[in-house]
Amino acid sequence: MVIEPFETPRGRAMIVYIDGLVNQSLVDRDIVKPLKSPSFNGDISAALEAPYAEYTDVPGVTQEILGGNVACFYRESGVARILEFRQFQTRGVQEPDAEGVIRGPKEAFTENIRTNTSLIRRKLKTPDLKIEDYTMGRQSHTTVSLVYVEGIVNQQVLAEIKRRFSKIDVGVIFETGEIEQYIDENTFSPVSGIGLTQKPDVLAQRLVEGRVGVFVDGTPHALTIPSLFIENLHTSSDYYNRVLYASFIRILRSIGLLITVMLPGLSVAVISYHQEMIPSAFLVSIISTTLKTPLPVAIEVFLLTIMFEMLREAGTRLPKAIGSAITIVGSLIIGDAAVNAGIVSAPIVIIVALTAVTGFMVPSLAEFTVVYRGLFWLLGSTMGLVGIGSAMVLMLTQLASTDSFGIPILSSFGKAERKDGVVRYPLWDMLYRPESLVKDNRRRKVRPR
Amino acid sequence: MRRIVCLCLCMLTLVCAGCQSRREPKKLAVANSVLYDIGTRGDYEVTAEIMNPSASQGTQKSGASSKNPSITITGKGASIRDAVADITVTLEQDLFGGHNKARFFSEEFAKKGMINALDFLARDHLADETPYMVVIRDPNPKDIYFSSIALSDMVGNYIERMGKSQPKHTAKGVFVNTLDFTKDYYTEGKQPVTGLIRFESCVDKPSLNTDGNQNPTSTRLIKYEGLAAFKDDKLVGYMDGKETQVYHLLTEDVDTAFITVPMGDGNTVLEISHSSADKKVTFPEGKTLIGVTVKAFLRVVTAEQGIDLSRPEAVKALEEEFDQRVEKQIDAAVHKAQRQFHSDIFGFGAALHGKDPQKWREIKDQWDDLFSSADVSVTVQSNIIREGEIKQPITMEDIGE
Repeated sequence: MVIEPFETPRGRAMIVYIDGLVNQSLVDRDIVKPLKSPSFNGDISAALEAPYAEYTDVPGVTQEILGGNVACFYRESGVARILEFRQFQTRGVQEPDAEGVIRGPKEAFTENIRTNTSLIRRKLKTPDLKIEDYTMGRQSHTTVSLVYVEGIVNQQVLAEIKRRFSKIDVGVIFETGEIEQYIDENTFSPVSGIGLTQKPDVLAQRLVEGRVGVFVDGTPHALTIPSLFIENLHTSSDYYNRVLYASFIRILRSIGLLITVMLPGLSVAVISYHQEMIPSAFLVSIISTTLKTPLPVAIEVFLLTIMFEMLREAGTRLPKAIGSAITIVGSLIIGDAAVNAGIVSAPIVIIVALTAVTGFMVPSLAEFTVVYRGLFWLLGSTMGLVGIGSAMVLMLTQLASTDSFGIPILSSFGKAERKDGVVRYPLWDMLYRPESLVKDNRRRKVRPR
Repeated sequence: MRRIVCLCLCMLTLVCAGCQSRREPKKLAVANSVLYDIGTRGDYEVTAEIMNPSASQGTQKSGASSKNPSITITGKGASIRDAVADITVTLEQDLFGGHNKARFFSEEFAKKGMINALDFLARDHLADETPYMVVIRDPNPKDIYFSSIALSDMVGNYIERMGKSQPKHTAKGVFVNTLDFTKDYYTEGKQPVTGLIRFESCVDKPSLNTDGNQNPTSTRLIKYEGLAAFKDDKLVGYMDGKETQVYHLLTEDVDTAFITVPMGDGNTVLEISHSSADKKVTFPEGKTLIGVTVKAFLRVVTAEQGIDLSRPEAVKALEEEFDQRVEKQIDAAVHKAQRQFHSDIFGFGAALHGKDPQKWREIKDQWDDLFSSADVSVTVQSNIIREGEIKQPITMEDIGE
């Protein structure tokens, strides 16, 4: 904190600011210099060479100073003039570390909320784009911005978000994930009704489909509300790639999701309950490889899956260069050695490896995948295919009963949604916005082409 | 809370549903084929051919395995179940029938009646309906496990692979799985048949044997040809390859059948590419008359001795010759079923049942007698639809004469 009193030709003045948060040369040029100059005639509003706001209450001034502004006091007027010369170190706009794309914009949000709002303003140059600021956190006084497009946004969802925002009472907020947990109604659901992105183009795309965005100062992640289940299978480059390939990739992702959730459970169920379903030649190979391993198939699958999750966790915590080395050492060497040492059998390693690889196809569903993979494994290894069937029923029931701000997350089979669902129709054919999200102003455009 | 309790109770009912037969794959002894036989003292003998997993490629680093790919174990008992249980007196693992490919029956067993075996197989939840049913026409049926099985590693696999490939090349054998057999057994007016195997001793050195260790001195070849005809559940006789062709023609499941027709000095070979058979049973003046009309569409495979198929009259003559020969062939086969078997394996009764259920209900109890004494009239109408890639004979000088 810098408290700097000084004499002007017409009396004493004082500036207060926190060093490190303001640009000192600008303070000198626009405040100190004009006030100290001999031509200063006591008219401070003319002398200050920057726009300012006047405050008369102590808490307000304190808040402004803590926010990185400069307070300028002149004589005993009882008025503080707040000037904005904020300047602090931030990271520049870089490529996102998740959601990588081959084709499409490569910029990502940063920790600075103003950079983020400017990034989104540059994508949507319309006066209908509204950004509403809130301050949250008893200690952190974090700026939280609500972003939406007036005229398209679902008013019920917007009102609901505002109602839930007003109920948030929290000490500090550093990440959108904390906001998410405060406003999400499905605390213990493994699938969230709130989407997440780091990319301005993804956010802009979702805003014009009637969703609401949430920025939190200090984090490069933005929330999008509401979020349907199918969105987890979409990426931004689906819209930039040509239609056939984009649809192919989406179908692949859906299959990948099914595989990563069901394969361990399904394979355990079939291998240890329904051997007659396995082709004879493969059954012989399974028998001959499991003959020399000590553990039952179900336990083998469980241990290997856990081991893989550990390797993945180790890989993300370690520095990038070592992280990849750990993953390679873990998966290649440990896997091969475990097979050779007769701890696990080779078909099981393949099953778990396939599960792990497909798991990376839908990274936003990591929580969902882990929970339901466990459920499928548990029921599949205790009840066989009946267990797989009941796990399927449980999963579908849970998904179907999950809402996101009043909108069922599985509601993706309307006419407009189908055109942007598991497959993507040609862009010119997507005339309407999703009907589960947008209530009025559903037409995206007038002409197909 | 109440919802969670309800959910847990619902899940518990699933656990009680009886799907608790958890079997670790490594504890299984997978049967590849099973032979049902009658022992010298009249008790049942069941021989299972069991895959040997340690001989599979899965554990071998390289090269062929030095172990036998399968073992055979025989159990004896007063009932089939007892005999199967007797196998486990020798075997240390759980016998698993879910991957059985073939069920062999000895002549003696089939003559005594299949009903016990069918009942056992239908009741058991692991015994499935897909394995082929084959009768072995030999006093020593167990020799099948010491015969050459060409390119396969196990007898069950050998029969399964043959069942997939043989119908595409010849119609001289039948492949009937357990479900087909059971269906025929229950169908009114159609008697069941099974495949037929006989052994032939190998005159040359057994070069057919790829597996050096299993039976290096094997001198027996398996011949899968003909069919075994049943009456109800009892074996009544055999048909040879030519008669089996007729069976396929009359049951309308010909994939490929080659018929040789002598024309001039040489033979012309015709392939039946598809055919239909219209079976009619009528009762004029108290007699039973079975009428069969077979329509066959033919392909010319070879035309020796230069028949010029570009001439319509040559084609016509060929068709007529074919019709006559096949009519005779059908006549002979049906006659055999009538007089020797007294068993309607071709399904004439079923055809009557379909067309005139009222009449069938009146005569079905005496159908076997009516069938055996019925007059048969066969008409074959053939049509050569493809002469092959050449129309004229390849021997040009014959035409020049």
